[in-house]
Amino acid sequence: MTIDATALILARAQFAFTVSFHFIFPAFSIGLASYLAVLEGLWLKTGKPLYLDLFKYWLKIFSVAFAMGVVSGIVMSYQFGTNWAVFSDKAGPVIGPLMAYEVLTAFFLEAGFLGVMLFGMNKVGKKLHFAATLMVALGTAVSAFWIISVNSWMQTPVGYEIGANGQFLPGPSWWAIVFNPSFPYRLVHTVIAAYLTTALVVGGVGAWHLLKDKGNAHARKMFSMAMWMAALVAPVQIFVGDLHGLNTLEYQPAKVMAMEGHFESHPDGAPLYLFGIPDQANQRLDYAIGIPKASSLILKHDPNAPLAGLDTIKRADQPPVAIVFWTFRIMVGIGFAMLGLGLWSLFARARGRLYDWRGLHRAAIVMAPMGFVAVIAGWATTEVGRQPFTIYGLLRTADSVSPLSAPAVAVSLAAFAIVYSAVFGVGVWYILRLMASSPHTGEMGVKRTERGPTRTAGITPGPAQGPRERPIDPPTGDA
Amino acid sequence: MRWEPKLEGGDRGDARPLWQRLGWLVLIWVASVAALGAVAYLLRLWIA
Repeated sequence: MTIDATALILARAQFAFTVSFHFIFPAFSIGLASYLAVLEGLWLKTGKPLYLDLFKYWLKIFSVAFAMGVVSGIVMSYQFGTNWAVFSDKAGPVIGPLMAYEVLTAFFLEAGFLGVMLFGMNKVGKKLHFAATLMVALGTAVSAFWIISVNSWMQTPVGYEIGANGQFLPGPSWWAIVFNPSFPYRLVHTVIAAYLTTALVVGGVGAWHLLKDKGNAHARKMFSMAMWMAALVAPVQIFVGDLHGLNTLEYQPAKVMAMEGHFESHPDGAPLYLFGIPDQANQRLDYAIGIPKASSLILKHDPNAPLAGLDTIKRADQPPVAIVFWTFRIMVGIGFAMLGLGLWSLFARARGRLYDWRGLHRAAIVMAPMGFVAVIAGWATTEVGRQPFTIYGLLRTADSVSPLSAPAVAVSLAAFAIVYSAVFGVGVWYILRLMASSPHTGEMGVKRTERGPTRTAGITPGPAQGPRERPIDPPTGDA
Repeated sequence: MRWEPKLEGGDRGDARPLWQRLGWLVLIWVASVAALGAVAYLLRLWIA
């Protein structure tokens, strides 16, 4: 079978486009589902309406993000059959069941119980409603478990047998396939990234409304919760990312060489390049700025440890270095910026200035979309770093694509670009519009019994009762 | 125009007998899964 090189590039571009679009939404909804569960749990525990208001506010946003995530995800799964039929045929017996579990989870836990979350409160009562919220949060986590297991198996394939027809078949134990060597690291790193992404969005929205009104109790609460998350979880993410990198060095050394920009081997300790322009054609890093021996210290915990470079990898087996090198730096840079924001918030909290430090609020707004940038950059690092293979070391990308002509793929890519931009553009615009309005007491759909004291007839004015009235809960000092 | 989820009436829901609450839970769950199934089928028609 002759593969059209242009069709291959276009098919890869189409997959990259659709998966990047798709990944934005689960990266948000995984964290937001858990945040909603926390908010509803706090409402049931404390009885404070503020938590219900925030729950309602973020539930609307979650619903739109979830819908876009599911729809774009369904398209992804169909694309395996249209553009990657050879890969699907060869790897189907191994990855098919795992992907089916992911889809079943998305349908039966996430989508099914989301309906109860949205429409069931007056039918099922508060406790069953909370149970539905927990099921949605659990569903997002289980869904992530299965799809990351599939992806990790493609990165570190184990537990398979090759059939007589060349297919990858499951070996004697599914556990070896599901819990393949890179899976635990990738799962934890990705799920924490999703939580941080959500925290940055929630923090950015809270900061936006604090800039307009620093006494806004709802904005204070969401900003405080988000900053706790950033301060406590960003360091954990950096630690987990380091472990993930060490695992990658063991199983996919060429990817780490590309991440580090190490074209040449370093027998006496490798430098950590902070900057450089990878020149893959000439196998060198131009304008390199590095810290001597620091890469060996990080990757081997010994500054003099030898590190092999891309000169030990055949040209045909090297990943595109420039993309991996830069996306990795974008991801790491944003990770440290998250840590900086978290530390800044701790400092502000200690000084009692969490809600009136405008510089901090502006920084939180700037950081609000950065979680998405980081997860896309991280995803590009791991996926492009796996090239030129779909199943690492075993099945080449060029041997995985469907026998399609370039014009056919180009037309479908153009159709995806147009439809996605229109549909998801409207969805994102609607989400931003929802975020721009301040959460407030008595979010529509939430009935109040605590409207303030009943006034006797006379001239004493009562509190405003409109939808944008001041909160009934006094501003709280912290979360 | 804004669409709003319905979160009022939690007390009214709690007042229902358990079998009714579970029945509603199952009904809404099935309807939600069916709705997503319809969307998936339409997407399949579009792509295939």
